[in-house]
Amino acid sequence: MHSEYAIEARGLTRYFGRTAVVRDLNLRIPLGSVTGLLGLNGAGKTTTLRMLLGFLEPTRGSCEVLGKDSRQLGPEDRARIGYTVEGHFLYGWMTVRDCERFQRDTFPRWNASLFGETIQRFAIDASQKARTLSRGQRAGVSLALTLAAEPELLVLDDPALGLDPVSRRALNETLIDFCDCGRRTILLSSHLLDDVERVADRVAIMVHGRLLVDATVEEFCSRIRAWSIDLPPASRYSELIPGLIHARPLGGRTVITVVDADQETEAAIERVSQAAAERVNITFEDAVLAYLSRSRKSKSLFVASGV
Amino acid sequence: MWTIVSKELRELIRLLPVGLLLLGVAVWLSLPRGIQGSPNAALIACCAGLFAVLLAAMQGFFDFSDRQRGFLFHRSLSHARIMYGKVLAALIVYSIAVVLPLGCMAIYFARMGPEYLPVHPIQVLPILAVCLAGFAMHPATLFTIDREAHWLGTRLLPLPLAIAGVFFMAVAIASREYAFDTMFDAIAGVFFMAAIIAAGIPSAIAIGSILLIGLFIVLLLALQREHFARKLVLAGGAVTVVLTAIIFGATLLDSLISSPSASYAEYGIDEEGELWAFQSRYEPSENGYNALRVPVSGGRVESDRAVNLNGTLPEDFNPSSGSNLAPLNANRQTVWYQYGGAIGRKQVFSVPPGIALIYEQGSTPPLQGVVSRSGFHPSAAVVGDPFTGPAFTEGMWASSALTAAGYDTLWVDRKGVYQFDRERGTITALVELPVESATVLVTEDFAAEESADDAKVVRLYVETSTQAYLFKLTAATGEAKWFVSNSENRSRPLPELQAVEERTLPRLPKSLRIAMLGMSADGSLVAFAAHPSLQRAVVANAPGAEWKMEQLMGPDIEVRGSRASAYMVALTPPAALLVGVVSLLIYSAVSDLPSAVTLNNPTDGGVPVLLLVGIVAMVGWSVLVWVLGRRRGFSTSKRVAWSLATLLAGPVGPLLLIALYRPVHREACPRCNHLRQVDRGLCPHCASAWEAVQSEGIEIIDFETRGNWAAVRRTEASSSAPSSR
Repeated sequence: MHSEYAIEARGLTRYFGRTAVVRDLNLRIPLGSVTGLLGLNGAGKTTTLRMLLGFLEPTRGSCEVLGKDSRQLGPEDRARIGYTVEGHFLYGWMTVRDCERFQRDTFPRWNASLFGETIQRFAIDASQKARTLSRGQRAGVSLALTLAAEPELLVLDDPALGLDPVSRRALNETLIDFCDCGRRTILLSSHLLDDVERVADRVAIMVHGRLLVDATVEEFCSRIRAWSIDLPPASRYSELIPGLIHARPLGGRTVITVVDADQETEAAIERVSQAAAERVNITFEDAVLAYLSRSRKSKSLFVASGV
Repeated sequence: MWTIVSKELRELIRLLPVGLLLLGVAVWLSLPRGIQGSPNAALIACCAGLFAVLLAAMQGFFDFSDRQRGFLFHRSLSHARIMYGKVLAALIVYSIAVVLPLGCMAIYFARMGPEYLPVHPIQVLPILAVCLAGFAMHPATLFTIDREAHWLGTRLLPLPLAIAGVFFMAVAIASREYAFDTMFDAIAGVFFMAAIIAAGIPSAIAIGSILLIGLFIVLLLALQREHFARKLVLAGGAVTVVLTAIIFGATLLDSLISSPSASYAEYGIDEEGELWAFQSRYEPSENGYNALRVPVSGGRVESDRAVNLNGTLPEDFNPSSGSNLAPLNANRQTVWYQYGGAIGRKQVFSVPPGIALIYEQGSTPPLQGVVSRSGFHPSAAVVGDPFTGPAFTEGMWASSALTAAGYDTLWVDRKGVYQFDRERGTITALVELPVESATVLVTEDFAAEESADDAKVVRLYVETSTQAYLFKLTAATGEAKWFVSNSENRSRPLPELQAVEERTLPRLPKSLRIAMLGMSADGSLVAFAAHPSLQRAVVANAPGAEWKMEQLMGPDIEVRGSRASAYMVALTPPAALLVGVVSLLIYSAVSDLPSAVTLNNPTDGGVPVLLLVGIVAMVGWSVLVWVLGRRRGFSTSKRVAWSLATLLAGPVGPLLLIALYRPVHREACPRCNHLRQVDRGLCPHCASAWEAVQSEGIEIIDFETRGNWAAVRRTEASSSAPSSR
């Protein structure tokens, strides 16, 4: 029976020593979706991807990729998965052509024209040595090597890291083109929220090794609202306002971000703000940042209150 | 897979300049600096060894960072094939590397003129060994790093292994007469250890491997027929040092440096014919051509008590033992022989090829000619005698340089005694005395004597370690002298032997083997019987009478090195010790080997201390394994098994355990509050599953997914059970 999910992680947990880097992660990536995996540095994104691809043994829990236990991915399974490692690693002593030959010889399918088109998009000379490539060009080669193998699932670990705007645009266009030809799935770890918003249809946010968000972009945005109140940020808000994600000062006022706000929430906000709350529009970026900022300040603002 | 091999080869080629640089340094170090100058040999070995360390480290770290690993291993090739490709590439590289020393050895064995040789096998051997050990290290490093284990096991462990290999090179060079044996054992040991580390994760393999070390020693010894006792000690020593050097290589090295060439106790006769036991150190002579033995401590041997080696020796003490330690006189043509050859391009080849080279110091070139069975030749290139292989072969020249009147030079091999006349370039057989093929000459001495109407040369030799013979040789007239070896000023009348025509002396006691023969002040023969590490004994005999044994132990010798010995005992796997001692005892019972029971000598105060250290170490290693096993979440039965195995295996046990298993973190169970391993699904105390992380109330998870997960979690919790790794 074919699963409708490209990736299914169940209770995935990973400790490094005494530290739980990923804790009880349950994640499902539907086939044909583009999912942006977001989180601050150290949130556990790369560790999660490494576990998903079988490069790291989970301390407990399990995951399946394209219906196969990730600890038992064989050559045939890996041929269906494209993986771009963080930093776009290439062997510096190889030329781009060598890289292509090396990759081509170790994958059953190879779309040479796609490879050529992709490196052309990044303006790369195939006779160049990898060590002489700029970061953007390296990203292009890396992406071209991954895409030319025609994978069904593409896992990208921070592909836009350090890229200039032109290279980022080229990267995004390449990914969009890739999705357009067939029912292909992309899991994209990134820090660039506008890129994710442009490319992804789902978003997953990790905070301190935990998955707090796993939803479509639309649903995610629709369930988050923000108000501006005329009071300074205070830890008591988390006790008073159910679903409070984050509160931040802005121009002498405080912007509070809330998830799944209902009438009770709105009433609580009214009480806290003494009827001086103003509803403000919130973007995808604002919503994500609310989660991520919460992560950074959680110790002082939320955790102590036991929320 | 060939793609991987090709990529690996191209990657390894980048190390070529480093390899060539080190090779250049090694060649430079090995340039001849004298006839048999060898002070740089250890440096060469270390140089080659460092390259092995570098190579192992480089190959180990290539492709194993997270990024590189993800790039290399995520492709349509199985993990195993990629690893095999890497190993195959290493095999090719090391094969090429081995061609060089093998080629040198081939040149050595194919050409007659030793003065044209680029290197000596003794020089080649360490490099060869390093290549082989390096290759053993390679898969060990790769497979160890490839595994997810403790940092020590994945990153650090292969390096000490390589360093231990380097250590061995230095040790082997320092005692190069045993180089072949030591190298063989060391390489085998390194291979075995590497295989253990590479082998795997299951406890059964690890424990089996530990125990196999003991079996390995036994097997190794069983394959060696001749010189069994020495092989036993060497084999056991080599294997155990491989293991111990991993942890305490620095300690052993330190002890080596502190007394790099201190000798075991020796026995000698002074000018007055008194017997002495002494220890000495070896120093290079001023001309750098040969070693000088400098006695540093000792004492006079008396018949019924052990000698005290802490005594101070007389300033002019100059023992007569040792035939190839006498200094050469400058500007004098000297025939020089040495067992096992020498390091340096200009060498003495008296032993392996059945020829002897004559050097004259200070001349250029120093080689004056070559003596073979067919006569004297100006160049080694024209000698027709074939090489006959390693030492102790039929063509061996066993002794030389008797300058008694009428005998310019007497030489002996296993077929007889010969007189060498350099002026005429001839070798004349004085007597045919073939030695049994299975036996080994241990020592020879000559006595030349003269009377009014006759002159004789008496040859006294010992073979098979226990049997001494005297022979009278006819000769020209000359002054009667008793000559010991080739030391000068050791002439001594030998009236007692005048009547001897040809005689077999009484066989020595079974437990002894003769290391040296000499003449005491009262004119009696003295046989110094010894074993390298266990005991010394003196056997004195009045000619014609039975041997009288006066056994001497050297307790002070053992105790003097007690600190180092304690380290050794503490680190030596008890299984290896046990196998070694038992083998020694068994062999002693059926052979001429000195008994190991001398260790029980009550005067030897060091033995109980070492025994105590050994027992404490055994228990200590086991306790350590118990604790380590607990931190790694071993069940009680598994910990017991590992502890028992460690009782036999010594430090190998904890070492393997650390290398093979990661410590497992434990957390309090949210239900029963007992500590439980985080990698187990259910608590072993209350059987509860891990509870889901408490919701913060701000999660946005697709409803459908969340609903499914509740069901999945329930199913998993009910079906999972604790399992050991």
